[in-house]
Amino acid sequence: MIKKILFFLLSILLTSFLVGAQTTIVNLMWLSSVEMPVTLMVLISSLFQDFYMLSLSPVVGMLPVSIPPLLPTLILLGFLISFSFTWLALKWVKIEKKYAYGIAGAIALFFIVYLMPVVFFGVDMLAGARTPLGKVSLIICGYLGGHFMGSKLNKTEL
Amino acid sequence: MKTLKKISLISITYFLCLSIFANHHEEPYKLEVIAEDLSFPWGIAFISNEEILITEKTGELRLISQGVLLPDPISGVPESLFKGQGGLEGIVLHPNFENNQYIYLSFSEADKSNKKLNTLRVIRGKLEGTSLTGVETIFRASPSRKTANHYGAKMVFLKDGTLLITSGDGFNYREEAQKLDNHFGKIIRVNDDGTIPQDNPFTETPGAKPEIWSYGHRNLQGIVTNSDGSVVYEHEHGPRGGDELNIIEKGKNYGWPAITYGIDYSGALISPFKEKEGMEQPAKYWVPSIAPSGMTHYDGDLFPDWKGSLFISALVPGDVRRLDIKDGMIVSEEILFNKIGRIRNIVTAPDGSLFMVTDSNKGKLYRVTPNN
Repeated sequence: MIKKILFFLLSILLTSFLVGAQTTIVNLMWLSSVEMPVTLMVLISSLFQDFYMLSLSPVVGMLPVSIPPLLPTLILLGFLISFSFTWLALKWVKIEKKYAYGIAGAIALFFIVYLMPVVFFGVDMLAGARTPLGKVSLIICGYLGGHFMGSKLNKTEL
Repeated sequence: MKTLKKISLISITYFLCLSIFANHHEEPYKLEVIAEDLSFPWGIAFISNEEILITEKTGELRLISQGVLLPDPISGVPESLFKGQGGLEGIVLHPNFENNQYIYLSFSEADKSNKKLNTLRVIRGKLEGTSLTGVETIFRASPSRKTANHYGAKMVFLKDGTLLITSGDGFNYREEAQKLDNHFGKIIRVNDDGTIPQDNPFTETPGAKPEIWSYGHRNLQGIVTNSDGSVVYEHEHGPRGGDELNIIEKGKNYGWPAITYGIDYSGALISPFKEKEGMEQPAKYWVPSIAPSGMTHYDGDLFPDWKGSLFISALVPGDVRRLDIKDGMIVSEEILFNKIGRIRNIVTAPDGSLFMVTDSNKGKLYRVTPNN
């Protein structure tokens, strides 16, 4: 059980990192296109900073108390729901767990990415989600996070 | 023992007196509520000291006459899109209003052909009694956007009679602020009838919108000139941090989003860069954000000590920043009026008093006058 929780948390962290990295790369690609000096060092430091700010740093100032980082919290909620359905579905459907959880992760990210603009008057709070291609790549991040979870479950339970 | 008691008594009395005296610090100004129950008041314009026009974001233009808010709004105002940060927003009077009665309004408007899209529109019309007549479009931002955020929508007349209009980046379209083929994140300059002045900086640039005066802006919510009209001040919301006060010059690039002192609301970097050659630095910036919402350059006589200051209203946490300017440099910042909530706008009345509106569906109009 502890192992499963650990894998679940790691899958959230992995997805959060991938989403952050996608945002970093989208931003830096544009900056590079307008002749800003984007070097390898800038890329590495930006990746680290975005991972820390998006995935680890508590949100200060939004509420009177500090709250956990929003992105992993959103992913956690999404994964909790979609993985629970997957766990139930796998009782009847024969499909490898890594694919089943991968699809579940993708569906979770699909809802996160498409529901955000509905809540925020058309605004995509994740900069990387502003184009159709960006949305697809974020859904793939969700798939990879779920795939990681499913593949670890396969190994522990086989 | 008696001496000890006496010393204790004297000490307590002394500290009590000191504390009462310290708390009895009288402000040099007083606030009075002129009107209340305004529905998200936004823009303020003075016809005279006795007649004040106020836009409500929900779509009404209201008139306060002799200190009384007239129950019926001004008729003839075009329908605006009240959604997100959009609605009926900016208002400015023509410099020759006394003779031509022109007022200018800016607002968000749904697209006629596609209701999913909307844009910023500026109109002018003649104020005849309590009606707006002869409405004509002065400017319409292009292209339209899906989002209901970051319209800008502030206006100011320059001393040459042309009109500056702020046009925000639409939130989702921030990169467009660096391109000249659209109106996202720009300051626009038009003649009073909406035609384009020939001396605009990009009239000869292929593909550029000729109305553009400056670019690289985010959500510009304040624009004023100094007393003699020689300096244009503009402020804009940054994302998380990075609100800016800029001094606007023709054709300049103010950097957004290639350079910024803020980060995205998600916590992600927007840009790791804060400066670049060819991009202007702000005269001042705020981290964390104060959400600047309006501005006035004080040139009145009621507060001689404040003459020449810039007053910037702020939504977060809700106050006014008085910036003291010496030789074009901002030398100090003072926080005022921080007990009335989110302040949406601040303007100077013809008599030199300051007027502010609070940001609420039960918004209030306050007047600030000297305490004596």
